[in-house]
Amino acid sequence: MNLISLHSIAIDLSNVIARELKYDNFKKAKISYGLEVVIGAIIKLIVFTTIPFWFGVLKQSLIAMLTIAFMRYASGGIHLKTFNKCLIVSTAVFVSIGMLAKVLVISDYLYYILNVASFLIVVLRAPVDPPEKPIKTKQQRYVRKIISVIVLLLLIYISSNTIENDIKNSIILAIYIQVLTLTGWEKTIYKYITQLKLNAKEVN
Amino acid sequence: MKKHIWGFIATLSLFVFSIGIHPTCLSSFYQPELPEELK
Repeated sequence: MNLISLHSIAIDLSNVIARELKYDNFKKAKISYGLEVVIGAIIKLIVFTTIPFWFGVLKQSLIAMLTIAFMRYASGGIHLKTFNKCLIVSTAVFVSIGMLAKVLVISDYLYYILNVASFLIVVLRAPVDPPEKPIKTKQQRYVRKIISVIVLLLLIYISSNTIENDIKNSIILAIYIQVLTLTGWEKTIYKYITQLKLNAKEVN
Repeated sequence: MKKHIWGFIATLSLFVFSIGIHPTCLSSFYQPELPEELK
């Protein structure tokens, strides 16, 4: 199924704007990037509010979304190749977190272990920059690592002081999902799948 | 009028570019690719 590419829409629209306003290629590229973010944000805002609302988990999903947004700002994480895949996966993640947050009871013991694990992963792995927009200097990398750790500690503090169980769960589940995206686990899964396919071929 | 609308969209896009270029990631699991001219 071929869905319309947001990237191509942004490029087409920036071409029109640059022609109308007589901008050079450099400014056109900036507009194209900004447009892609703006259009994407509008679509995501609509989808990320309506679908969780249908499932009755709007509050929990929005909290999870904000938590992940704050963390990803500095720490980054895995990315999907296209906007459409991102939209589907993100919506599934937020709705799942919302639903789980309503029913899950996390013991204090597990909560502390997972928080320590998250802290260690963030210290060791953050920031994970996307290839589309790499971090260029060591200094930038260092600053973002510190910001990532501060944001994580702040979120853990907020979650530990939250009385309502569903909100607390939304925050901590979002933290754990985001921390998982720093570990490169998806590459391991792909590796195993490829290995399984190779083994299956050998057997045949 | 048309020019004003394009101008508004261009300004908004340039503003979003200026704040969006610095963070490691803009909130979601998709990151718009940086155009060749800006790399």
